[in-house]
Amino acid sequence: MIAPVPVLQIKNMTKAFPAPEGQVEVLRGINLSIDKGEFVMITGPSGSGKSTILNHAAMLDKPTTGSIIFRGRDISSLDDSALCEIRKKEIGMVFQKFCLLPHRSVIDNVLFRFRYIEAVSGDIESLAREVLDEMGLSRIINRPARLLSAGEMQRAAIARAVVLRPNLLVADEPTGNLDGASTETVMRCFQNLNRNGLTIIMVTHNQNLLKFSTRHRICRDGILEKDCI
Amino acid sequence: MKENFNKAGLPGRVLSDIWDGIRFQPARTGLSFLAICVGMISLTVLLAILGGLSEKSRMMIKEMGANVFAILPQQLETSSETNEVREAHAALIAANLSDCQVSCARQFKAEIPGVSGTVNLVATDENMKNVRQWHLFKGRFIDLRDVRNSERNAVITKTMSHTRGWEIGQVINLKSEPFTIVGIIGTEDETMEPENAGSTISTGDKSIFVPLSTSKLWLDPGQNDYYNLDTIFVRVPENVDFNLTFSAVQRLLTGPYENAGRFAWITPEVLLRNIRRLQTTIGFTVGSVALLCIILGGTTLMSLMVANVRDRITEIGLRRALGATPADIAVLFVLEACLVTGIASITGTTLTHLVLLAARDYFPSPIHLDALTIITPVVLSLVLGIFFSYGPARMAAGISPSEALRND
Repeated sequence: MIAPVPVLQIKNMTKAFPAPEGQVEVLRGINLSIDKGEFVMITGPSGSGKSTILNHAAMLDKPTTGSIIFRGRDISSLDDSALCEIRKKEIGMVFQKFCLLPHRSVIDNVLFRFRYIEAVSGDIESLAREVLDEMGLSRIINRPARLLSAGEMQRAAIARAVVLRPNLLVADEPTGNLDGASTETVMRCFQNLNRNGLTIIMVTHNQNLLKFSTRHRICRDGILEKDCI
Repeated sequence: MKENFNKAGLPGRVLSDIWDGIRFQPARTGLSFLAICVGMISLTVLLAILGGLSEKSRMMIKEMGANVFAILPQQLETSSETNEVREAHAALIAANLSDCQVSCARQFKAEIPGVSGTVNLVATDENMKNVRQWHLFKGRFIDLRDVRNSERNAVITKTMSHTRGWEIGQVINLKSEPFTIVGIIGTEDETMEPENAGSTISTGDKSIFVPLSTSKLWLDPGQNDYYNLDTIFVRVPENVDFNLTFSAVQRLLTGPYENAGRFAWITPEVLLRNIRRLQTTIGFTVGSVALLCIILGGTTLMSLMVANVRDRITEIGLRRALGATPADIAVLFVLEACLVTGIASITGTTLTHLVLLAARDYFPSPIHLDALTIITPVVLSLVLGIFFSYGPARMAAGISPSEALRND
């Protein structure tokens, strides 16, 4: 029997940024493998390199050394346009600041996911309505995003990220701007998505959220420590 | 089913993106719009005036006739010097240069009941039509008998005929004197230069030609310059050297009692030179205003785009995260700038055209509106949009997506 290919594999990855005093290494020898259906949470102090790992997982950045393998394909040497193509359909992203277009309606924000995709099979408006229904936003789909509560904004952002059913959902502190109740609602959404087979990698400061994950890693000083769960 | 929705809706998606950008900064967008709009209004006016002057010079030369020069009284500094052009001068030229055709004209302004403004009464001889190569549409031109007998016959321009509905045989009153219309004339393309008050070269399209000998009817009582003229026209045959003939006439009018310097000598070249000088002056003045407005609008636009890029860094990050390439981001900002400049120029050009069309009769300069006065500002505005947004667009395209998403 052939073992399933991990959705994401990071091998011996380092990342250095130029600084006036020379190159500053923010990630050192990162190794991480995420299988399909996992919900991996990375915690750690500020400045430890969590978000940088996430940016590499979302293919927004390229490692200085090491490799990133996405669904069996080494993407570390791909050029920018090839990475754009992968980001278009296979990666969903959720941000701490939601990043919604404030003047557009909730459904238009979800449909914005298709902005750079040339051709889509199926009725994308139905897809958007369906996912907004899953997020409990079906009653406010025409409301401008700027008029939503923080919790609603984040659920709209999650809807936008998952409307294309990506292979990997990357969430960078998605509850950082939410109160307790909204955090709970949003995390339930993530949990439901994960139970339906979506692979998620998430960065958070909130230790209380670890219960929603299937695996936990801690990042300290640019090094990812061994699995905690 | 909306299969391939995005392919079909590409213009819509692009317009939505641009509209988002514009309403992000309505005040700054409005300012850029206004500056570009004023620049394009100035440019359209400039093009219309320059075009009008070119058209005027073309028509003046056409109306004056090819291979024709005119001799006019010179404006003198001291009143003791005589500067009159007389019938004797015309006779002298005709007698010495038998190859050339010579014609005389004396002009008067007259108000005719039912005709708005003043009408140009041109008292002339039978040679005028041939010298200036006008086209006879109907009837005949003034002939030798009319001149000798001071016949009360008149020839009108085609414009006069059209606007007044006057026809051959109709009697019109010119300062209480009944004149019978015997002919209708114009240039080859059926037009003459529009009314040009004060010019003795161009008779204008609102003219009535009468025999030269009837000019005494319009002299003031006691006025004794019966043989004085306003202009002598000399037509040089095509097979004769124009410059040599011109010099010969100048020599002819220079003698013990005459001096060629007393006269103004108007050739097609002089006409063109004067028009070009006017074009240059207007080009510099109106052009400077247009250029200043365009630079002001362009720099405002550039600052708008730079501010837009800075304020929309997170949106840029989001777009990159959704798969936009750096080129997609650059194109977005360039298109946004082009839309602002394009709409500003269309608005400015349309407004200018409407105002100039409505008020062209009251405008102090000839106006010519054509496709060029529409296309040039629009094309220029698009070029400006690309030029001034290129830097900010490049800056936006160069932002790393992870940096953009980290931006606060």
